[in-house]
Amino acid sequence: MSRLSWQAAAPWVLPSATLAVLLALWQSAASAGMLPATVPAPTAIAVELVTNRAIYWYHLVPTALTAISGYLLAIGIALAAALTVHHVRSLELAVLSLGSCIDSIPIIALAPVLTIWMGVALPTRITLAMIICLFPLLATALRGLHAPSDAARALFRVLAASSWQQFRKLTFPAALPYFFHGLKIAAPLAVLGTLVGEWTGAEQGLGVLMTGAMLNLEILQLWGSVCVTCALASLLYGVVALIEYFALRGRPAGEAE
Amino acid sequence: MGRLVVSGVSKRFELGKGSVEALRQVGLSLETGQFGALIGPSGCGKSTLLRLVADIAAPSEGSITIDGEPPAQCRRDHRIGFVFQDPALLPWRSVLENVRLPLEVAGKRGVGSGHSPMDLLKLVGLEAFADARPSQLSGGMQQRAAIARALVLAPKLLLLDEPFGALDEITRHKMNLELLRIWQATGTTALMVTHSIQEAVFMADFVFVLAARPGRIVDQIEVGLPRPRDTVTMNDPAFGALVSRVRGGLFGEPAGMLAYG
Repeated sequence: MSRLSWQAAAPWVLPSATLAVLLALWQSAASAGMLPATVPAPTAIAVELVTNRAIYWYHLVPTALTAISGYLLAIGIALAAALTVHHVRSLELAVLSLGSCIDSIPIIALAPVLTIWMGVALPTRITLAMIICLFPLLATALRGLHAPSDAARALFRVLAASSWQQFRKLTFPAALPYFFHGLKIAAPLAVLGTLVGEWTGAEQGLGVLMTGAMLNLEILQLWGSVCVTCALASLLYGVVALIEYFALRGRPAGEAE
Repeated sequence: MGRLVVSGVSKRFELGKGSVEALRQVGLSLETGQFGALIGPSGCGKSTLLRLVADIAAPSEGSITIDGEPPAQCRRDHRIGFVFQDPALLPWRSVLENVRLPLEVAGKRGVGSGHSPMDLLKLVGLEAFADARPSQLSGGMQQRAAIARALVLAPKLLLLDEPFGALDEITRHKMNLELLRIWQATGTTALMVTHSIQEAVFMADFVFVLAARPGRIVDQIEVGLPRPRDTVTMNDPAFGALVSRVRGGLFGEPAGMLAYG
């Protein structure tokens, strides 16, 4: 392998190799009977996932749809709030205080309150997914809208740019890396919010499957549902990261870090 | 086209309880195609004056006209070019797209309403970097791209706020020679803020010496050195005398005593 392609492959090779080594250790510990009965071998979990794939698919779909709905709703609300605050600066402290206040309530404490209020229903779970995503999205969006330098803003003033031109050609592109930063933080959080919502009551969903398996000591199913949840969260993150890659292609690295 | 007249301009900034007088009763004028330099210590309001001329801020008192019109009109007509100390190139655009930006904002994509961005890149010697990203350019090259951007709408007035302040002295001198060549090629009126006495005398037809607290013009020196100027100009005894006079204005010594000292 040439030096260049090795460097290109390195970010993938090292994490994959680490994961493979851990899985191999786990598998051999299980074969040697060193693990408690509550920890199955990786191969046993894999077999479980393939055998009962219909069950996992049945519960995955509503969780995914709820998480995505809450996520999209949070993006809309956060962007609207950020744009409003950006134009009415005096609101910034109020909105950020309210946002951080809501964010400081543990989602696990908010779930029963919302369930009592809104009932065991889809809107409750979407709201939970939305709330948990909201603050990271809002904070990064606001930071992004502040991203253009004084000189860049003065340049657009000298050019007599309309506020729409300034937004389209300066503020929005300058804010994009920050937006994506928030989107990547929020994507797995949406899955977490949905799961917590499903724990407090639902007919269908990975959270339901998970709690059911726990109460019935269905060890394989519990591990299986955890794996599917992780896969969903990673997939959402991956999709956002892919969109980010194409949206920010050709820019210098590490702008929003 | 491009006669600049500043008369009786004062600028106060309200700061909490009191106010700071950044400029007091400043007056200067430049004829079309002339090059003016503003020099003075930090805090003398020279950058503020430039921002007032560009209508980035408004004066508290006094008037500024460009060909008899207020700066706001000139700015709306896209006839002011501004080069900032920070090149302020947009990192997501190529160098050529950055130079084209003012044409897009002004809604002038056709020929005849401004300069061709590619021609300007040639003028500043960056034609080979048209498709490069700003981050791939050195500081001096970025500032040359910013100058091309400022010139693309064929401005009446080119304002430069310490454009080469962040560069090393050798690069800065090269850039000054470049700027003189570009300015003469366009025939625009130019006003530049600088910290360097040599730079001010080398570049300008008129050097305006400012003092701080409050910012005001304490001396105005006409530089009669022939153009085009080059490095040899700096060896001219008249150049040394003018540098001494500007230094005298800055530090308060009587000009005559230092003239040939």
